[in-house]
Amino acid sequence: MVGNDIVDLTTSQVTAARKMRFVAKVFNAKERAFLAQGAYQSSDIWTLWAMKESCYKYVVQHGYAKRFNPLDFSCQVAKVGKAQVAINSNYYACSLYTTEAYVYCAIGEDRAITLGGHAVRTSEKAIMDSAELYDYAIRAIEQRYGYKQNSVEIKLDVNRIPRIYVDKQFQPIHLSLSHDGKFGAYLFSSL
Amino acid sequence: MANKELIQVLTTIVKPYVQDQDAFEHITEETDFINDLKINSAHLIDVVLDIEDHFDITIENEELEKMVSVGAAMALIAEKTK
Repeated sequence: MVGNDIVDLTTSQVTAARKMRFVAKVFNAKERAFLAQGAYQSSDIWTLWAMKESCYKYVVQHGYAKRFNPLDFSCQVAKVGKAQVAINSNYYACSLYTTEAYVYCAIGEDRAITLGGHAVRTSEKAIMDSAELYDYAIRAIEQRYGYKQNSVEIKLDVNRIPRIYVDKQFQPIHLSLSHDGKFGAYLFSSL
Repeated sequence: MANKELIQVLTTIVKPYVQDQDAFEHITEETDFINDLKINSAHLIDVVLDIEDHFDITIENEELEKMVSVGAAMALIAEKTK
């Protein structure tokens, strides 16, 4: 199972007052204390958001059926790089990637994250849309598993989870997709 | 506020965050914010904040997950403004 989320920091600017209302809506007391330590930097806020969203996508693939309520997901970020999300007494380790332009979170098996099963892409257009991201992900899956060109399709199931088909046959490769502003990211599991 | 008027207000509120223009043009009470209009989760919070501002109401954190569709938003607004 995999889950990911990317936020374009260049398009996520809001007023200070609105930022604080957003913080009050979606973060618990411990998360707000963490954000206060960093003077509510946008990159910190969107990092925690990406962690919650990634974890939601991950647990949905496990059959977790509830709607996304950000307060159900509790983020823990240590000072030295380690980050995890807790839900229902389960903990999920996060891989975080932060640049000046985006924050990105990936949750999933180590092999997917370390062996090329994920990447952040920059759109060739004004914004990254689903079609462009699907194309990047399909090309990457074809290349990684040696499938012939144009044989891979991505279809959303009834729960809107992306599923992989090769020559119309379902394949047990888990996939998570995220796009925001100029950026898109895919993360897929090993077979 | 009549339902028709309420849908018009909600339509104006969600417009900046919609990614599926076809679904937006055929918006009804059954329209789902995420699955139909393709509004992302972060922008769903923006919709909640905009609704709070427009109607001068507060949507509690535990009520966030009720905000799944136009109809659900209308019911929540009606409850808080009566």
